[in-house]
Amino acid sequence: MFFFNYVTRRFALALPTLFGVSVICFTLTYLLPGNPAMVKAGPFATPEHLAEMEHQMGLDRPFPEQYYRYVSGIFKGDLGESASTGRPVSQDFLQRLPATLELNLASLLIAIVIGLPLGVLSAVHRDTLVDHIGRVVGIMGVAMPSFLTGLLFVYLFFYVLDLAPSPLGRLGSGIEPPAHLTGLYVIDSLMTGNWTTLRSSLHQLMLPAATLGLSAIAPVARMVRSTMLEILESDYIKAAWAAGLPRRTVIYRDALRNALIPVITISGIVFGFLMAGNAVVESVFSWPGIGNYAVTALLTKDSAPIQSFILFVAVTCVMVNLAVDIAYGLIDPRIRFS
Amino acid sequence: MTEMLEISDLTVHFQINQGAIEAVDHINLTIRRGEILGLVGESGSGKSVTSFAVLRLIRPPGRVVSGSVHFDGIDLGSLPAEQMRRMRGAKIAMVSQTPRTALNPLLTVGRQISRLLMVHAGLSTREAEKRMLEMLRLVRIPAPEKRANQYPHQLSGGMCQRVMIAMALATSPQLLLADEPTTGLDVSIAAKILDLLRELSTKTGAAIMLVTHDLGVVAEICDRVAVMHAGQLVECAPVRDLFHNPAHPYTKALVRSIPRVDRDVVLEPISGSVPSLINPPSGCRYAGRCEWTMDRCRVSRPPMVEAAPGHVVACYGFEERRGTC
Amino acid sequence: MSSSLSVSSSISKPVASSLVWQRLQRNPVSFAALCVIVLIAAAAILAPIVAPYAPDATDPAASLQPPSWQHPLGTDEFGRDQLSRIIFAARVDLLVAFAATLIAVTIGGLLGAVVGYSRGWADTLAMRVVDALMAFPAFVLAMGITAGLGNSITNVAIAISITQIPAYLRLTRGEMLRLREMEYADAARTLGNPTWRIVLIHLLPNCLPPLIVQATLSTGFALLTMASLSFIGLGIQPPQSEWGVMTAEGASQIVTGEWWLFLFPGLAIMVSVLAFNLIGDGLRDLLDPRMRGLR
Repeated sequence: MFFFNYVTRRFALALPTLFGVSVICFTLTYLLPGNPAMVKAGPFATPEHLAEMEHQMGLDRPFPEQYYRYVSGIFKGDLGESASTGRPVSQDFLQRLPATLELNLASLLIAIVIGLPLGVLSAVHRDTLVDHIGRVVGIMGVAMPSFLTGLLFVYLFFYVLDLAPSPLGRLGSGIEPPAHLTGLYVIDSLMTGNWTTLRSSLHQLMLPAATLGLSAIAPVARMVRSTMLEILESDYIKAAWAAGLPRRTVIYRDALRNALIPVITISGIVFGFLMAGNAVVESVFSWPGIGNYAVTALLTKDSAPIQSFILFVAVTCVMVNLAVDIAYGLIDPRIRFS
Repeated sequence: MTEMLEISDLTVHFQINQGAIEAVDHINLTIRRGEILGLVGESGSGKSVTSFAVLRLIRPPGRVVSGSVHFDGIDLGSLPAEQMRRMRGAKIAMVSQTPRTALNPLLTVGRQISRLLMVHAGLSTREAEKRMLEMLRLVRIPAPEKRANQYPHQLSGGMCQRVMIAMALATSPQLLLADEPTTGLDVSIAAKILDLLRELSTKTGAAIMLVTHDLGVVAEICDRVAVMHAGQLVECAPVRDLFHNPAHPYTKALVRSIPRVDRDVVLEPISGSVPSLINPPSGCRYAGRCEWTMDRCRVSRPPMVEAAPGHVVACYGFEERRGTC
Repeated sequence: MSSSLSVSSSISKPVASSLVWQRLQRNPVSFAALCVIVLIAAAAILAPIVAPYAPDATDPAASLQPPSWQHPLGTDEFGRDQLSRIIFAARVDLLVAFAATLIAVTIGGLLGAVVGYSRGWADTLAMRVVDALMAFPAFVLAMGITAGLGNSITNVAIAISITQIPAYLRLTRGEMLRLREMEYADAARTLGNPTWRIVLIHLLPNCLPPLIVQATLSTGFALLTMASLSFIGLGIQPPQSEWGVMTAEGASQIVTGEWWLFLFPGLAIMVSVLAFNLIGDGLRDLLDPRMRGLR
């Protein structure tokens, strides 16, 4: 019961932020070039026709009313129309979302699989070689632009070593996509036992996921290290040493389990990080996700996809943070039973 | 009969940028079987460091510079790490000064006790569970079955301290290091905890080293008292002797600073403050605060001399005065 | 009468700055990073003198040459010298990074000071807006704002500064909430100073150390954002040179193996961002004792 209240309260706290996000996105729409009426009316419309169109679309109404229309449109799944594909943005989005999701999840996996142990080791072996290596990786990881990492990978693994396929899309040429179940090619081909496709999709995913994942290793490792250090200095860990518990138990049960709670928060932050990075990485690898879609739209001044992308990313980030808060409550007895 | 614990010539330094903090300086101390020894001094006098040194848990930047610790005739310093680990919690247990934060917030208190029994006594899960409940009953936790399944944050501070004591005593240790076990607790609860410690020590025959800054606590349950000042041991005596005939000026000042209800005395704060332990003055570290200070106090460290049977003190001023009387 | 108060808060400044200088020298990594930034900035300012070629001088005979003595960092498809272009590009990159940071610190710092001191509804409103702005990943927001304002260097700088304002605002506000309860704030109020004077002269200077640390760290981030924006085609348009654009141009030559075209401008970005971060870390250790020990 208490937990239900906790979840409700978290939701209530997220609402003003979501409202603010929608206002900001709407304001950006206002600013964005390309009058939607002009797009709809076509390039040869007369001024009268244009005014008529604007009236029809409600563009001559006051700001609050337009905002209301905008928000109710979003709730109906209406994100506008892309001028370059001529299709509703929501359709384009749904089609590209799985690609982005696949890339982001793979990168998150890489970031956690490498960043978590790195952070734990640098905390446990503080000021030793591992810690110094971790620190260098961290500093470099933050300063390295992800497109440079991506290009270096392409140059090394595709051009020089010929280990990776050409950086174009999710599947090698001539490979059929798997039956559509989740839209994530790796998972779909696994579920349908389509090994050729699985091989090809993993092959294509390898470099972009490594690029995006690498940029997130640094924040993961750094946050794990600092929480782990704090916990290793805590009274209950000192008490655990004094109680003669084996080293493995103290570090990997007592300390790490306590450190994992903040790490869940970290994955929320990292998700935002990945969302910001995927526009660049997707465009380096011609990955057909929503980031690439937005970047293409930027160059053609196609406003609806851009604003939808920005809205989508922000809302996703708020939602992920909300989910993280709730997960926190599920795991931490201090919240579960407070 | 061998001593339970024998600390000889123990010195612990903490290396920091500005130099070495000499936290514990050449300490000699013994505790007999079944005895309760009070280790008193102001905060920062090296009491807690001493008990951590006994457990060999001084970590960098801290370093044991010299000295040895013998427990039941065994030189703890020469034990392999794994055997030393088995000592901790099993033979030498510790009760921390911060009961609320010294329990792992993610484990139920019952589990924290029973897993110790599994690690040290090799009990099965069920046996450990049973013994754990016995321990909770022993430290008088009401409704132990219910409490065992609760998390530390659901318990009060006094309750947590009982859990800590149950934890420390679960494996029937021969020595209990109780580091300020009653700080932060209500006076009435503190008194109960002390009674409990005394009773359990009589029952199990465990020796206790009670680290505290509170002479009232010492008077209540200790057999013998050791007084530390700025990392040095200045006096050690049976409890009655120390309170009636304190020999060291610092002890005298400490005793004078205890509020008394039976006598009308003016409370006197001790003048000055603990000297910096970074490259401290050679000689007696109380010299800067002492009314008896002579030239040689600042030059060399006074040796421990016997003031009465079982009562030792390190003070040139005391020797001087005894000689003249 | 208030002068004595302001004197007391500024009296330690010369001492403090010489102390900073001494300590910075004792931290060789941060010191080296500072030298790198000074070097890059000097090269940028003196670009016409130090660059071996004009940035737009084409030489069809020397197109796509790998690094050599004539062209230390190679040439592009039009035979333009990479090194000279990178040096000239530094002007744009550093200028935008510094300008964006300066705008953000000024606006964020002042707004934060005002709402933190006054509290009340302005504070509540500001914090709601900050929350909403911070829900956006900075890069995505900067992308949207640049797209909205129009594709130009100035707009990129404005967009980046808007994404950074919330962090400074929150930081200064937090400091202000603490400082306004301090005794010397009471003293300044008792002496009848006008509010603006208390905020600007007495309290704001005390918020500066954490602000400076944050600013140094985020100058690097501003540079990174700027380069990423121009990499995906926003802001600077070719033929103007800028590191992100140059990397993007180099990217198209990658499949034919001309590695020097993407690598060197990319490294220029990395080295500068790295240097800003290291300076920021060093400053944090010096100026902000509360953050010490955190990395």
